[in-house]
Amino acid sequence: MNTSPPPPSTGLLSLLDRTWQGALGLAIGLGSTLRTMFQPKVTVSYPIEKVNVSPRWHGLLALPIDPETDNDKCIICFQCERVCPDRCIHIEATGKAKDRVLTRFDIEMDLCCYCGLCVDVCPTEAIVFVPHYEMSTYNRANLNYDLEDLHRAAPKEPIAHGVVKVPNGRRA
Amino acid sequence: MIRTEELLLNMGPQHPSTHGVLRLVVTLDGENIVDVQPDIGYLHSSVEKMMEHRTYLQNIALVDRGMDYLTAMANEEVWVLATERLARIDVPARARYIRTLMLELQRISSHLIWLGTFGIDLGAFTAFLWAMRERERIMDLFESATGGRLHHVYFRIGGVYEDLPEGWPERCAEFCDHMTAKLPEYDELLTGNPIFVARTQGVGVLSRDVAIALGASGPVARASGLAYDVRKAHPYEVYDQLEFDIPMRTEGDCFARYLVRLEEIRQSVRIIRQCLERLPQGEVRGKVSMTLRPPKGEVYARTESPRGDLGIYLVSDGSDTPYRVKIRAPAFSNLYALTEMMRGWKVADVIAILGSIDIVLSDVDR
Amino acid sequence: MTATGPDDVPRSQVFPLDKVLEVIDALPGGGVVLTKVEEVLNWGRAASVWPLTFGLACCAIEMMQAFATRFDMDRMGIIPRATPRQADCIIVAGRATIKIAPIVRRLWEQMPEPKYVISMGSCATCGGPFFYDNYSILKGIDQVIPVDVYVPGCPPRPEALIEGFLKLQEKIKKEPFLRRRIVAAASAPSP
Repeated sequence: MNTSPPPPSTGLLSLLDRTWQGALGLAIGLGSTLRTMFQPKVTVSYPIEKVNVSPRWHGLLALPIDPETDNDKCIICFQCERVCPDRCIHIEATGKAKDRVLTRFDIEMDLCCYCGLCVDVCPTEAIVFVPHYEMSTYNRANLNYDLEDLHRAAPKEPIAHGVVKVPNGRRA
Repeated sequence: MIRTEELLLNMGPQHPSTHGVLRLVVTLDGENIVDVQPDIGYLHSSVEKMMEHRTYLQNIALVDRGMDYLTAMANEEVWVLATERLARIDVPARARYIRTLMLELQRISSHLIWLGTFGIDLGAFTAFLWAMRERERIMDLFESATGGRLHHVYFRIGGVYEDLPEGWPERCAEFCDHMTAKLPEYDELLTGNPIFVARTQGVGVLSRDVAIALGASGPVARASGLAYDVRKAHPYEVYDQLEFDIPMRTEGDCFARYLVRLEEIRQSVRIIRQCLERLPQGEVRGKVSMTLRPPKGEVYARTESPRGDLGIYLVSDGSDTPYRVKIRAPAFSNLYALTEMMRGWKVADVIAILGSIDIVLSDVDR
Repeated sequence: MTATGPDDVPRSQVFPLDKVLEVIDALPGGGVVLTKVEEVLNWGRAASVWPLTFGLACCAIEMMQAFATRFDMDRMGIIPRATPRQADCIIVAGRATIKIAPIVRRLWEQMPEPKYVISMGSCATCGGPFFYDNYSILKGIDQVIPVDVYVPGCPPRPEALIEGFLKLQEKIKKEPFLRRRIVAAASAPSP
């Protein structure tokens, strides 16, 4: 049922009408864009200015060190390993029951899909998100975080509300 | 006698305007299109098979990136709805209002991206920049509530993950005012522009009978005169308690689809305002086990995603992973109508017609 | 008259660049001149990386947001090109299936040297959520093309992509592409 558009009608009046419509459409559009030129800019000049990231942002994962026990809060329940949809958490522990010692806690951050299910199921809030997103590398092996990397990734004080704006960041 | 031949033009998987990896094999007679065959499968991620090996909770993380990635929460919604219907789980009232709110924000965000890419395909670069500017505000809202800009994993079976943060309803209301103020600018830029109108009005007409026969849904079908919206026909969440209209047109051309989507943004703003007024207090998450084992059975759940009628057919065998999941993808059926819409037009109209259907290849290929 | 380059690709010698470089290098202080020239040329190349946008899936949306209003990448000279012949760099954004792998390889081969690859997102880095039990997604785009910078995230924020570009710019600025030609020409078999 497809029909071609009707052929343009000829005649001086219709030509004038079309010219006027065209000019009007152009003027209204240009006026709209010119008005936007004088409105405040929304561009964020990364890396000189950085946006405040919300505290719930799914950034890097970390195991923060509890200042009272000087160790992380992980009770080696394996729930995060079980719930991860990408199977990127690998936990190994020696010993039995309460005397378990963590020997390996690897998270493959290049596989991770940052869904937050591990943070959801952890009973002691041992694993948390850090609002940090700058982790590009030249080498994929750098993205395999072991226990020391996860301890180091955590902030020393509780995660503040948003990352502060960097007044003088790196020049491009 | 001039010997004429038909030319096979390959608009390959790498093309700036095919909205992803879609390959169109266009048979041309001069500049007129004789036939268009889409070649899909360049993004097939076997989501349905993967879902059979993940629990119902893990599937929420898969479903919002494996299917239509522009409407992550609409995918989570249909999955969570199917599971809750199968396992007969009740959702608290506050969670249902929050879900509806998020779904409508997702609808506005998806339509804004469509508007931006449709404009840039037809040459209106400014529309893209403005639509992205509005969309950044929505993404800020999403980020402060759910933690993700594009993939949220916010819904859970029995509610949502956590409550909205402090001050979020006020920021959302502010966004609604901002959006209502900015929509006339899009009208000035595109709707009244004679070039835009000449390229889209009367182009790529899809009649009502053909739309029904080919299974088109969503704004594509509503622009052709089919008054069907899942939110009104089979209400879910709190849509039966809210007042909103379903925009409809009868011409069925690209311009009608554009107007329908623009009007849908306005209606979504209206729904969001009502949700914000009526947001009840209470908890947001029911107590559901991590390894949920629904009873044996099957269920079909359908929702209105911004692309159309999105459905999931879920079969459970009593274990903690689904037995079979079949996804009814709206963009797949809408793409099927492409051949009908394109016959008889010129090659320059291919991009306009393809853009007006609003496909997302991840939804087509799954 | 042809001379072979570092990869045994015959190059037509319209301008005998290798000879000129050797002569300059042999002069006293010539090494310093070459290094300075390289610095200037590398600065020019790094400040105008033109990527071929190969947006496959969700990461393409964040890449579009990086090109758009709020995180404007045009300020850094990054203009998206639609054809590989005019592009310096290919951003593979999203999951690559086995069906599209030969096309990615062909696009990469169509790009003129020097070219770089940025792999954006978990799926292009290593398969991501589709890694361990998927029959159709490539487990990382570095199975078909060599990658220079990996930007992880699902999807990475536009700022993270810009940071990936900054790392690529650092890599370009350190590239000794003139001195490399002298070494390659010296060790190449004589014609």
